[in-house]
Amino acid sequence: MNRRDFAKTVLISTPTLLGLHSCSSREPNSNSKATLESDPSEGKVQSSSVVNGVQFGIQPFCYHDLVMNRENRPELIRRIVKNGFSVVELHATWCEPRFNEAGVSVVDAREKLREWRINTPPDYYQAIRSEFDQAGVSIFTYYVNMDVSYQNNFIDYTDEEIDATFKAAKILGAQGCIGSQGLNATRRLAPFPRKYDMFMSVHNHSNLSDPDAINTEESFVQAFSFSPEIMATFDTRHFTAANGDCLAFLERHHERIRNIHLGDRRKNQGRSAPFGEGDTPIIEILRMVKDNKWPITVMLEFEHGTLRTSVKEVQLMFDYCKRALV
Amino acid sequence: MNRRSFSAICVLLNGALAFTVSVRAQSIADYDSAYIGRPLPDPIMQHNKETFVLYGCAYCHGMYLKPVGEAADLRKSPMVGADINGNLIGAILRAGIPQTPKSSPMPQFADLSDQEVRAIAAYIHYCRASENYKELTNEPTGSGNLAAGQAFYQKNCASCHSTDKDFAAIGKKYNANELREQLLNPARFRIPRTSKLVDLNDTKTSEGRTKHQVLLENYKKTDVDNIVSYLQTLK
Repeated sequence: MNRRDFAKTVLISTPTLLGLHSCSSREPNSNSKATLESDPSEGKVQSSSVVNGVQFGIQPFCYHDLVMNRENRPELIRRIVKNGFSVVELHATWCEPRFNEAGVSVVDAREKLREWRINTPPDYYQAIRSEFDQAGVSIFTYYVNMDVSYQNNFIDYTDEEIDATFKAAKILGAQGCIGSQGLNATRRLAPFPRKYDMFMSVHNHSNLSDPDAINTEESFVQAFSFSPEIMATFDTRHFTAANGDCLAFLERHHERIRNIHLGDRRKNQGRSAPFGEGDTPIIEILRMVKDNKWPITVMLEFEHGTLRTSVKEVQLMFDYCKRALV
Repeated sequence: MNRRSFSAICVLLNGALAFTVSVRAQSIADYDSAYIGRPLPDPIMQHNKETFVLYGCAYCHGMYLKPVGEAADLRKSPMVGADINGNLIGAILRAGIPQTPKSSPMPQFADLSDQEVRAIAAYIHYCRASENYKELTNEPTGSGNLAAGQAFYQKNCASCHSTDKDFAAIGKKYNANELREQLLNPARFRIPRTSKLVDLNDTKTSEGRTKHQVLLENYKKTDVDNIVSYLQTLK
């Protein structure tokens, strides 16, 4: 057996040695003994969701069945507590009203939202923060897409609205704002986070046909050049689908990565997959973060199909990560 | 093997297959009935729906095809309307749509088996047909255009039906409302399937069912009004 064969054997067998079978949605995982870190009856997370030095959190997009609006926020918190996460990336739609009722044009709804954001008092966001505080959950990042159109790189946010958004995020306790905006919008937003001692994080998708999109290492590097406060929310699923090398990216840019959206996808714009069934090196990513003690928060996110409840699926994914870090 | 023995084996196989697919939902711990819905009465279609869910189609295209976010609305897609058994949908599923102005391109599902493609396509067609049936039966009936109805009949119905045979005097046999219901939901196809073998044993019924479903998911209200007007003249 030569060195290459040996390395291959080790790589192939490591997940098996660890008992790391994929958390496939097709069959119940009989090996899984997922442990809930919380007592849902008390409505509060019982631990800090840190596993062997790695801080875990949740991207609530995982709860696919839950409409992302402020009316569902109590249920969102209940699920986060049930899954045992002490950190969340909160999308603005969990906090903001919706103005797109029947009879209201898209333009009018947009203007109403802008007015609402500018005029909403700090107490409003303080009350939301209290809800999460009481549940033992801290809001790490505030997700707002400050780029309403991907097609023409158009950004319709006024300075006043961008300032209001960062102020809201600050009151919520977030360390930064994050969005999936393109490069042009990111350049426009770059000066704002410094005013609030925060960061602005860019999140990648896998669209390689749009020259403005954040999708590859090169596009991240370009975004980083706009300001020292521009950071990465590194989405491992989409980076893999765009044929990026997750481990090389982590190695080279870990200082600019504030959080990871951890999920699995297949290469060549392939589909999302249960942990362990795609091409994303999930185990290696987690070990790199752990071994190097990088202060990167790992947010679980999934878009693969499952017949289970989303809470159960997240529980299995978290369990997979815990076993990877043993 | 005589015909009776063969039939008996087919019945047993039908039952076994139906049992297999009908218990799939119940065998999954924490089956998310709140999101996916209660299992459908037709176990074959339930299996198709679960395939649609398991490949993540529902997250973007919606459990009942009401799209979420920037995904295409499959209810209004002419390509889907022209698809037969996944012949068009399958190519898109396997290649994805990498060139797009949208933030997240449709992924490619290169590893789908032919059977999985057919299952996903069948569920999409089922949703479209169900949705269109609801819309067409909720709208008030109108007076159709006889000539347009005859043209529609020649183009879409005459290859299987005949005004001299099965449709002779059909306007006397059914009133307008009954004709409308027969168009949208033919009595012959209302018997729930328990397995694909039922269709395999009766290819004529199977083809008819497929063709009527394609028609149903693509009918416009005026099409139905027109064809009913024409069929009423066959007395």
